[in-house]
Amino acid sequence: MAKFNQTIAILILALVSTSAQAEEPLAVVVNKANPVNEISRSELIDLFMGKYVAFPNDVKAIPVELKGEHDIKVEFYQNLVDMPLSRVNAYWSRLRFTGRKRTAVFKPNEEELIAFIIANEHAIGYVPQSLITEDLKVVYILNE
Amino acid sequence: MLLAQCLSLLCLSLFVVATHVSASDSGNEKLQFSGFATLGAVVSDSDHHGYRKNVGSDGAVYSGEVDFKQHSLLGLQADWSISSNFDAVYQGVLRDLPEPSFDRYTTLAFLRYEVNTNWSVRLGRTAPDLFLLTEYRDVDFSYIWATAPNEVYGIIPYRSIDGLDVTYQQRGLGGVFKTKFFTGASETEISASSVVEKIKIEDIIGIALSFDHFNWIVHAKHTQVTIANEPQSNAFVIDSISQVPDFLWPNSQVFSESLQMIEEDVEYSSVSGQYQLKNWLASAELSRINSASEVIPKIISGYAALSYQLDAHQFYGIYAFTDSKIYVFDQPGVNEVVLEELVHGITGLMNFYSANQQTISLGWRWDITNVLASSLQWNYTKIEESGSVLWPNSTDHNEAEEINTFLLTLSMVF
Repeated sequence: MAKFNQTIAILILALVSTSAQAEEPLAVVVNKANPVNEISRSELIDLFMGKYVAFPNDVKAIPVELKGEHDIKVEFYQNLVDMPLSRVNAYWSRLRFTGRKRTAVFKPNEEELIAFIIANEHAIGYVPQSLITEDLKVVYILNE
Repeated sequence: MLLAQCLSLLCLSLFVVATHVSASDSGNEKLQFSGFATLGAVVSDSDHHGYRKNVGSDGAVYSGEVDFKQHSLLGLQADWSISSNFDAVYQGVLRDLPEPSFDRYTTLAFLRYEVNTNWSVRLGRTAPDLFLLTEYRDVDFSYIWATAPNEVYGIIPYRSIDGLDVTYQQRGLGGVFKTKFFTGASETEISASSVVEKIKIEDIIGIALSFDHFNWIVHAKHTQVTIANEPQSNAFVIDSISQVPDFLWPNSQVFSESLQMIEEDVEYSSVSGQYQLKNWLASAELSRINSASEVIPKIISGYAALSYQLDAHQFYGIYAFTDSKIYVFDQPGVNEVVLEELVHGITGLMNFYSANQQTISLGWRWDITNVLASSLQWNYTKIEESGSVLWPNSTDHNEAEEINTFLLTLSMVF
């Protein structure tokens, strides 16, 4: 019986943990040296949807994306523009295959994405709040 | 044109070099390869009017046929980020063409210089920005429908412009204003029932304006071009008229000169808008083609569309129309009995670009994965008398007809 209770407790913990991870706010971060301290939601949409790829001070930005169908990427776009990744991909295929916009920089995981932002003053990306380090500056919080 | 073709080759050469550089440095992310593809099947129920995607196609789909050529294609693209404000793009699209060549398969080949956040310049081969979808109508994954409405897009055969464009964009009023000026030249093929015509345009001058407020967007575009060659059909008819003696057709010379297309101007204009409210997406476009040439009538066309998204499924309806004046031969003093065949040929030529039809479409798009989608679309088209340039005739049947067409596409990006 004790073993059964232990198993139930582990399952509940796992569920709570998964739920907490899914609901963890996403932080939009830039290089610490970037003079921009905050960014509005509409500016963020313009920036990640390729409409106006610049910071509020009109300095050109370099958006950094996670490659493929990463959970964080799905959550980011669902929160930002209320679109599933398929529609975001459809939207971006218009910009990319007409040559209207330069493509973003893609990284395979959060660690490499963070490393790129730390190394590039004009980079901007999104990570779970728990991964924020002192080398990053948070300019917007999604899903707070 | 020659300059732009040289640039195309230069871009390709740069990519070959870049590919070599990339291959020798696995960490190099400056070169990205991507692509898009569509596998499309079409069936239609007319024995007389054959379905085709646009006037550039020399094929057509008649009753009892299943076609895979009209909508299937494969696009490959390379993006080379040379520096933070300088990049090059090459794109080739393999598809069924009446006169295939490396030049025709190349749809993008340009160098871009981003002066700053607001200004950018592209030099080389770019996509034509005549109407709302002309830049990306072949990227089927990018829009909901199985195909862009033929009434507006079927008449536009151009897939690229060789030249220069300058874009200025600025934030304002909670959105982004964009202005693009472009100039250059282009050439393509237009297919009639029995002949493929090469069409060259030059002195293209265009402006495209847009205001994008994320859930709604408006566009206005205007382009003027000059026809740079005389199509064979026109030359043949003009030559035939010149051989008619005066007693059968007095002053025929004046009329035959009006059939010349070379150096005539054509204007393309379009206004369009799109609005998204939660799961609903509404869009509409009104376009006009106007020409100084007697052979190209004024064509007014447009569409209105509504779609609803339910999870990975989108259901949509489109109403599209195109309207132009039908030419009826009415020259004074002409012996139409003796010249019956010639009058028939002239009428055919003058009505070649006429398009008069309406289509109601219903469709379903399913995003199978985040990069793969299928679209099933039913088109019910009512073609008015004298037919339409959009539908080649297998016979001399020019009567009004109602046609059902079914399209099934599987589109993807990678």
